[in-house]
Amino acid sequence: MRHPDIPKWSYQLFKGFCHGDFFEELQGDLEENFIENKQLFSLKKARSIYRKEVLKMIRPSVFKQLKILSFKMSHLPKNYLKTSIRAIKLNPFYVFANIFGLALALSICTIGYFNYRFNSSFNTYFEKANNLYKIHGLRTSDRTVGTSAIPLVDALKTSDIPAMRYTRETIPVRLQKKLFNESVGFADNEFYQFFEFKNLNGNPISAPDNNEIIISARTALKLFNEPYPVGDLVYLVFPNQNEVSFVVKDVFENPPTNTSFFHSIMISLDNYFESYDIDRNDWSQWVDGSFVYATKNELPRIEGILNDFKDIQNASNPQLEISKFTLDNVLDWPRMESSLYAGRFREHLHSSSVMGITGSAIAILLLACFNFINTSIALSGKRLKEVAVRKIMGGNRKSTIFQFMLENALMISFAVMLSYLISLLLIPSYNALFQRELIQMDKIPFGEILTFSVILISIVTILSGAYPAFHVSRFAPIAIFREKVALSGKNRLMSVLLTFQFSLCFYNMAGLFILIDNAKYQDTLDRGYGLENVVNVPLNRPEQFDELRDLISQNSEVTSVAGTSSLIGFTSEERNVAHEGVEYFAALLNVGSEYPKTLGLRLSKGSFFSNANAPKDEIIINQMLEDELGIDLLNQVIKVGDENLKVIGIVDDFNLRPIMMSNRIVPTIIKLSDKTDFRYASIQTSGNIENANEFVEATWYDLFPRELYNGFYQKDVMDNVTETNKIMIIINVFLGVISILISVLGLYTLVALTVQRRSKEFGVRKVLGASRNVIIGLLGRNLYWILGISSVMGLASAYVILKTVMDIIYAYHIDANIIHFTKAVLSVLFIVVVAVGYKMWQTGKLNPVQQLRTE
Amino acid sequence: MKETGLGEFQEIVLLAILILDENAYGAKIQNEMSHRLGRTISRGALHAALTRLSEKNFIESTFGGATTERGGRRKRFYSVTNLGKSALSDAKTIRDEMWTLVPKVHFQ
Repeated sequence: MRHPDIPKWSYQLFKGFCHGDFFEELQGDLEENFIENKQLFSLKKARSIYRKEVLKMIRPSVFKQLKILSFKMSHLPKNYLKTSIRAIKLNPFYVFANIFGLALALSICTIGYFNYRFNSSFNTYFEKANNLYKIHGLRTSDRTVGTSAIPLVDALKTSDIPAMRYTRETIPVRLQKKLFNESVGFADNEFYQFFEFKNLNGNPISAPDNNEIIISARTALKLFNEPYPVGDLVYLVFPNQNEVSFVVKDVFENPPTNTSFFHSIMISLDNYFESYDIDRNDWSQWVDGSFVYATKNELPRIEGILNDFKDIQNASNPQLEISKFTLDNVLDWPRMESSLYAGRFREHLHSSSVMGITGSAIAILLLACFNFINTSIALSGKRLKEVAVRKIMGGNRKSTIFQFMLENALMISFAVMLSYLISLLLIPSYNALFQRELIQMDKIPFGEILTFSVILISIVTILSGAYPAFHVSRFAPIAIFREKVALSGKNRLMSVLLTFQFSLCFYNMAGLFILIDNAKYQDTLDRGYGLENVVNVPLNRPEQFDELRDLISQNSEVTSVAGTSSLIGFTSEERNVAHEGVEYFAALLNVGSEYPKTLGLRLSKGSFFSNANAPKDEIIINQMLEDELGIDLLNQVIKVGDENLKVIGIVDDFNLRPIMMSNRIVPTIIKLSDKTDFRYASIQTSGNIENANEFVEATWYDLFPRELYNGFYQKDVMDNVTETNKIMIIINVFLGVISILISVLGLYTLVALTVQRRSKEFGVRKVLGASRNVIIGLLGRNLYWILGISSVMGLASAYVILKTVMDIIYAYHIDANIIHFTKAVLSVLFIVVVAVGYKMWQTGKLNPVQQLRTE
Repeated sequence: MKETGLGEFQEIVLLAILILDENAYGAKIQNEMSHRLGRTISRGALHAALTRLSEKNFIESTFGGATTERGGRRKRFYSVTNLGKSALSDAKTIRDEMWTLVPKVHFQ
């Protein structure tokens, strides 16, 4: 009996784990102390002491020896392990494949968990996050406003409410001659006190003075090439070339990526007001976010105070009238960030991607578990006699279950470890897929990973290990020796499942061959101009072009330098074109006279612009425009917009844009641009493109030391396509490997079970004269159907789905053809033959005597 | 010199049992030790020590009668065996010998 005041759950727990011999004594002592403590202190304290005492009881000497464990203790535990390892050694290939399949499925689970974790631990980096709230402005008919007016925080401070502002700008940072674009966070002094960014020693950084700067660890390495450049000078280049020097005060460790703030440099908010010439009492000026520090009880009061200022703010911002101020906790805020008006902070991963990956992870895990169950049953068919012998020798059912569970737990633990390695390998590509560092292994505590692994091992062991263990241990020894045990029946469900799995295999295989071919095709597709040897440099002012050209063209490897206002692949305009009364839509490029030559456009008729002073009414058009207008246009005059322009040259068709989405080749007009409109310089080189870029960069900084060089390669146009192809291939390979492994395992199981069930039948058939091939044919009958149906389903869906997807994302792509399908079918068949062929072959040539003999 | 196989915590448990004499059962030993040492001792830690001591045959135990304040549960009374007593005195002898060897200057 329990004393009524003693905590119920702790008592139950204690009773549950305490060894029966000690319970009376220990619970008696605890209860005596409890009553004494209740009189000495209070009931609450006495209960708390009791709970702690129970927790401290959890130690080996007190523990009840669980029945299954006591059994293990009394028999030699080593033998179980030995038997397990022997069983695993018996079928190394299938065990390994099983483990590997499970590991792949588990690695998706792990990644799914990390995804979930990204959202669930968002902003928990800040220890005071529970009491930090962001001010949002509700609007009646539009999205909530994420930014807030500058004087709001000062107004709150007059009521003694801890409030702070934060805003972020991208600003060039100068260090000696080099310029870097950095993301600079401006914040009130209070911000540092409540949002604790840690320095390299793990202590919160303190607010910088007006001439001080705090930089991130990564930026420190990037700018200074040393980890702790405290005391060094940097210059920030504010608008109007206004350079201000700052002393590095401290270095903060880069917070995890699931944090709202992503600045690389922090300075005081006063600098923002000064450098951007902002009046801090102006209600029409905004900062990215304002925050308050408050307990939950204070919120209604603060919201009340905030709403007193609503009318003042609305009066200054008639276009952004808000109906009410609200406060949202910084832990909840990232979830709504993407739906905010003018949200400028990092947001949650979209919940549908988390759900999507978690859902598919669970589905694949279930598939893998199902296979694991089947394979375990099939493999244990060989060990029925072992079970019988154990039972006869006095082992009970429990010992057999324990043996099988231990084996499964061993394999699954190995699978979990392997899955962890696989996820480590996958994480970089996974992060690249989302183009942000979603998963940062170094920021996830090891304990959490360990807990997750242990939970995973227990769940999967129970899910996939329990059934085989209970199933196989059930049989009576006599039935086993008389060979009256059938491990399973007809397996219709298994056949259906396998058909779907194999459809997925064929789909993935075909998809892989198509995607690889497509990537090759798009990589070498003629864009109609030279991509490989051109560097583009954006200009801040058109005059920069002449200075740059004069210096750059002295280099012997530079073959051509051109100024331009439009850039093939990146920018263009659109115009109506009219010829003989018919109107067409065409793209317009405004370029310098050398640009067509520099970009390697191929002239088919006429000529390029003669020089920069060529008549402004001369144009070059592409072949497609001529085809569309339908006649020989060379030296003809066409109407473009309101102007009459003369065609002096016709070039081969070329891609104006990356070949993504619907960006096909369009009719194009190339027009001479004024020098005063130049926005880019394009440089063609005959040598190495990287060297050329370095040379141009060096020249740029010689000429314009205070301006950032933003040069890029013309071939960057292909990046999108290459990246998309890479991602699609990675996903396909991964899914392909998983689906093939899982399906082949399932197939093996099916064959193995069939062999077991029909072994007598095959023996009789052989005796009556059936050849090996007949046996193999009989064994495979089911299999041929599965493969036949699934190949049709898989290939057809590959054709339809991939065509639809590629039509959407690519302007030009290849279509699936019979070669892709043949390759896919052959490779799947090859894998199937390798995996189950041997088993079938072996069955076919078995000596019937062995199959029929009973002693 | 003889190995006593007695840890400091176990030594204190033995002494507490001797001090409590007839009344040495779990809760009392725990309170006595907490009181003497000036820190809380968990019943779990005490149990571990008692188990080790009875494995070494330094203590023995008998059940007492049922009492109401313990919800009708019996107390288990512990007493130190002769082996335990000699181990205790061995430990004391070793310590005393060593104390005599420590030069006085250290404590002046």
